[in-house]
Amino acid sequence: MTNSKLKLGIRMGAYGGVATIYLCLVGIIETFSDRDIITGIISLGHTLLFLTALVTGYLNMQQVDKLINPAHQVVEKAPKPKDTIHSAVAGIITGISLVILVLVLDRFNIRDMLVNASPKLFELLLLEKGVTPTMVSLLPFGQGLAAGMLRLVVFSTVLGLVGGTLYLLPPTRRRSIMLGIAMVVLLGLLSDLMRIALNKPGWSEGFYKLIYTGRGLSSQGAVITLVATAAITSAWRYIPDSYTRVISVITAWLPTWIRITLASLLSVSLLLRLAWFLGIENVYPPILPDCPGLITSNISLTNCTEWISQGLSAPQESTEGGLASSAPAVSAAITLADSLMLLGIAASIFLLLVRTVQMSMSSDIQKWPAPPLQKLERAQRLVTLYLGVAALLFIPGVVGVYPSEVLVMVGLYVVMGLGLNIVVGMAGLLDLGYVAFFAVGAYSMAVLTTVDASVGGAQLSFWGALPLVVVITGIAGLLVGAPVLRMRGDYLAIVTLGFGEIARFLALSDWFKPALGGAQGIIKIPDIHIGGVEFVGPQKLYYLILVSCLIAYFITARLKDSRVGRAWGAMREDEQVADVMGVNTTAYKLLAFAMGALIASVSGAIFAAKLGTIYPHSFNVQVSITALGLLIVGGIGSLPGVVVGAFALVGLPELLREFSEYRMLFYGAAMVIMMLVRPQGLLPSARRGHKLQGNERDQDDWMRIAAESEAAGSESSG
Amino acid sequence: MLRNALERFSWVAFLLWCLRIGVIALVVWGASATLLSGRYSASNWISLIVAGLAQGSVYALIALGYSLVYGILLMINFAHGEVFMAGCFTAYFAARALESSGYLAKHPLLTIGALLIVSMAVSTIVAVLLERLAYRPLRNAPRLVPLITAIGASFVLQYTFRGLYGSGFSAYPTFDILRGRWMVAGASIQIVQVVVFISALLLMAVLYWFVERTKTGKSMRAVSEDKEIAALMGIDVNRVILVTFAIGGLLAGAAGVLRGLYQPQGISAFMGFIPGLKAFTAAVLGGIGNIPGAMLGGIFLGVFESIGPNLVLEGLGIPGANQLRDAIAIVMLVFVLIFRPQGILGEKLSEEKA
Amino acid sequence: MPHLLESRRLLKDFGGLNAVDHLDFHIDEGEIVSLIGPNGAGKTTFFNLITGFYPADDGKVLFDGHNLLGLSPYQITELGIARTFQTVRLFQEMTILENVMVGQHCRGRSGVLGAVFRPPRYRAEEARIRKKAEEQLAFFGSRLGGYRLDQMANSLSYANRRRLEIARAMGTEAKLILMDEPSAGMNPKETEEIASLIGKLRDERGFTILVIEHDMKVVKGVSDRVVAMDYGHKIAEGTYENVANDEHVIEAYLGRKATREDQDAS
Ligand SMILES: Nc1ncnc2c1ncn2[C@@H]1O[C@H](COP(=O)(O)OP(=O)(O)OP(=O)(O)O)[C@@H](O)[C@H]1O
Ligand SMILES: [Mg+2]
Repeated sequence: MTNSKLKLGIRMGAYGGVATIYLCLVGIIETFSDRDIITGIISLGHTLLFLTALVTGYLNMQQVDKLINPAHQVVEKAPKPKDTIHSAVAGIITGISLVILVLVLDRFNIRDMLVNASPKLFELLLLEKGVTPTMVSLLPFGQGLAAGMLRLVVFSTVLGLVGGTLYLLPPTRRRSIMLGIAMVVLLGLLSDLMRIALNKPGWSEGFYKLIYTGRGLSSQGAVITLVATAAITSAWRYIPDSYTRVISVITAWLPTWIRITLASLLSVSLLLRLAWFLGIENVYPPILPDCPGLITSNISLTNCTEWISQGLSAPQESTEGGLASSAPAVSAAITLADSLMLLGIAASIFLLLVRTVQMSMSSDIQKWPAPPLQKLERAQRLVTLYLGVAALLFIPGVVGVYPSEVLVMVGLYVVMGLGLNIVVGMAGLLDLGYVAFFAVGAYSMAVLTTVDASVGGAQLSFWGALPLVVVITGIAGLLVGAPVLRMRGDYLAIVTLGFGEIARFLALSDWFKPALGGAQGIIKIPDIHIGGVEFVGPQKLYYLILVSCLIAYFITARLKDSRVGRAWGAMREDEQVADVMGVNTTAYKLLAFAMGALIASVSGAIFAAKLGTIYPHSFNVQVSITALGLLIVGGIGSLPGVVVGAFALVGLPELLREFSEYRMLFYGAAMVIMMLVRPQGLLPSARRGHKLQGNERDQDDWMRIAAESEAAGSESSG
Repeated sequence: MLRNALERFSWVAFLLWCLRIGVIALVVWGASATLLSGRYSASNWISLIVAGLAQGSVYALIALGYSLVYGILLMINFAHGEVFMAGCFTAYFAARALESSGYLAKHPLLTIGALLIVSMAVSTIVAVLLERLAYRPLRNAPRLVPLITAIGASFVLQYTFRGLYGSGFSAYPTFDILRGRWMVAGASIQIVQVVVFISALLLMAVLYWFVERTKTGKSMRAVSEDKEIAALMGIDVNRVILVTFAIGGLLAGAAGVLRGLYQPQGISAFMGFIPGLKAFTAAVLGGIGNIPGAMLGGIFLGVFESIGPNLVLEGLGIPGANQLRDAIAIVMLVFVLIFRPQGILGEKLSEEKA
Repeated sequence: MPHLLESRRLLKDFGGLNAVDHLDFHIDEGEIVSLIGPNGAGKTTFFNLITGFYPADDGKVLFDGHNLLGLSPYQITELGIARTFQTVRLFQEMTILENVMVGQHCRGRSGVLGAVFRPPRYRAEEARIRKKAEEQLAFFGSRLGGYRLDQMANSLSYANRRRLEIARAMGTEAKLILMDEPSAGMNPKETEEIASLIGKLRDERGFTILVIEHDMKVVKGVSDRVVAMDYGHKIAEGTYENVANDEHVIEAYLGRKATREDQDAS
């Protein structure tokens, strides 16, 4: 047994070693070492390096568990603390693999072939680079090759040990530690975003300074994050409860008119902000100044009265930054609404306090009686909806330009993903050429609206062209759908992939150059207007995309739960049977393609107007794969999964420049890993969640056995 | 009566017939227009065809990998193009090293042999790893699952190799002994193309012998007939599958070197995608799962692709016809799948296989 | 009165093997007819021909005055023929209720616009579809009802899957239901239940039923008429007793069992 555990440790260690060497030679460690997680202490590259050792130790322990306790039943047989020694072995082996790599790097020049086998990698592996000089001097074993190698082995061993121990911890504790580590990494990664979003005058600045320093977390920030995450995860189950409780108190005890007034004041304030935001003329660079008003400025009790007087007399300072002249009036209105709202909140808190005092004084007043359940549920839904809408509306103003740009990209992919979800998730047709529809949408929008005289000529506005674009792309969907109608799943996949490529070849060719502009593409696509508002710059485009996402979501959600959706579902599950049950599968396949195309076309059309210029090269197979990948990561067929998938696969890499080079590598790996480990996706469509298969089957067997014995009994007696 | 006829009228069938007639008409029209215009002489055509044969034989080698795997697992190994790339790309470094050390100039044939070994070894390793890590765990999953994995794996491989080897490359070195041209019937033919074609044919002959005559080859055929029964007969199915992937890898690796010989440019981590797609087309064209079919399909596709743009597209008056060369294969794939999914040599597949 | 369903010299040739060989067959409205025959006799193939699963090579199938040959399966279902499968083929990852609602598909009209905007007409139709589906499921009592409505079909036990298949077929509001071995794989108790269910389907719901069945107790219990097939031919037809005692049938198929039943009787 010990022997086989040892062997297991060595094998796992070797896997871990191969994985780390892979990360080094592909260049991920080196590229990522430029990004700090905790400033001056550890970079993303080193984090990855160490995490591999940690994960190796963890997985090793998992395997040990499986080895000695295959059925997961006998508690006495669970791995014991002394088994962590095997995780340490795995760690040692991983470390030794790295040492071998270091030696090879030291002795041979393999850089002619393996571009990333660079001196920098060498230094990173010896931990002499990527950390601040003070840290280097603090490291054990000092400087030099031998010391560095020793350090590698020791670190890996310890991390392997830690990984193994982690597995042995009780699940709740383990989860909060792992989440804590994940949170530190995530916050460290998002430091640039956070700087833009938080590091500006106001209450957020203090928070930023508390957690971040330089281009990563500060060490105190890391500790705070770890502790806070652990605390929140352990308190997690109480949070929804207290949310309900707060709402219940408010609904039960605040007079309705106060609630309504407060809500409308908040709405007015929000809407005014939105109007202000959309109404500003565009400046270049397209950075919008902060909106005037109270919420974004420094809140302290002393200048409360000042605000109110400010609100009553139109403030002048909001005209800074070359704003439109209409701003003062609007900003006055906003400040007024804000002030009234704050007053209202103060008043209601006062009321509640009075109530509490009353309650504690006399015993015949009932203690916080809960409102009727229905009312409470409705209130909760309303509040959640309200908060959700407010958050969605305010994101671009709060986060700034670059993150808004990221959100716009995410939104474009959400729309595409929702469309593809109809084809793949609902109808079960694996379409790998989905980019073709996105391209047709973008190109037809470009051709119809461009003011460049060499192509097109219709020079429509965006809104004039949009219906045409949708129709054209829908027809393209039918054209792609028709030939593949009778093809089986995997052929269909490859043929659609081919169609995607053909679309690009045609756009690139001389043949279509007069119409589509060849490799130079189409330029001078005008911006999108609604009335006086010009949707330029990511912060404003965000709203447009948001609306299209909501519409697409609405449409797909409604289709999913309808006669059409059921017909698609039947077709996905068993095409022949669907046909026999009365579904015209030919028509529904075409419909799926057309609907998918139609939704993608909207995404494409906005994309064209957003960029103002489009080239065939923007429409390559990677777009299709990204769209498919986000479905897979989120869970095929699941609508919230599309959103989650888009954030994970489009949002994260957009935020982290370093990722861009390895983006497709991650997509590919994500697809493979999801298929191997979690084919239902991160957020499986709810219906697949609970299966009572086991139960009913058991019951079934039981019934059968009973019936059989009964039959046997009657036979013997007869 | 009329109502009955209307109920039976199928738009799809009607459109398919229109399509079929339309395509044939276009091809005939284009070809006759080109031939009548006399823009190209017979010797032009001969050089084009020989170039097509060389290209096609490389497609055929890759196509065999698709076909062998499909024959056994009924699965499209989408990442096979990347298996080809892996070998070709790695052999590039070997070639560079041998050239700069002067060995290439002294022993060109041995160099080619060494390149073949390097390329075939790397491709085989990649193919086998793919099978073990990505496909084997999914043996019993629904059909589209391994396909999605294969697509993912394909991207992982592309970007792994780009990460490992970087992205700026010059060409394969050229071999003096392969450089000349022969004059045949007034047409000048590149020697290298002939050599590539013949080597590919030799390899295919070896494969054919292997599958038909050796014990392993026979168990491969047994497994492709029926996995369960083969297992009952004492055949180690997993081993046979692994061997199949390995053979596909060997052939793809060889194809990689041959491609480097006649088309030294364009070495990159993404060089496998389009040839992969075309080789798949070739496999389908010949009847997927069918070994002689894949060979024929590849060669047919190579030749058609070589003469097609000049013969058909120019006749139709399409400018820049050669830019559409890559699209031809895909269009051909679509038409084959619509009108003759069983391919040129394939028998009508049973319900389960089709 | 013309027959509800009639096949004339129906032929299916699987590359030399005539799975259904010039078969003449008919069933009248309100009848329960059993189709029996040894394995490979061509019974399932006959069903596949009627429902348009396979194209026939020759002959005619008339249903309610329509010639079915050449129609797509969904058109045939629309005309009023529904079926179950020998190997249960449910829509696994859809709920029980949805499975039956798919059966109602051909009785609905609404499309994409209806689904998105949900006008009153759509709502009414959807409510009707739902009600009808629940009605069919209620036929099976609590087995497929209640909390089970929203469970996945693949969570059901084997017997319940068979029941759900029947419910789905009922959901199409067919005139004629073709059942392919409804009692296969069921225990004796469940088999009895199925037999009484078939009777109830006709008596209470007015379906005409053609059933393929191997269990002679069921055949005896439910059929108005029995048709025996072998090698694609009809070898006997008539009441259960007539067919069971027909020498061709005994020879082809019933031989052993018939003698056992005789023994039982004596
Ligand atoms: N798709 C097909 N291709 C070729 N032969 C087929 C096909 N389907 C059925 N057959 C053959 O047709 C014959 C009749 O098969 P069928 O399934 O109709 O028999 P059955 O009477 O339903 O038998 P069972 O009682 O086993 O269900 C069999 O010999 C079978 O092998
Ligand atoms: Mg049968």
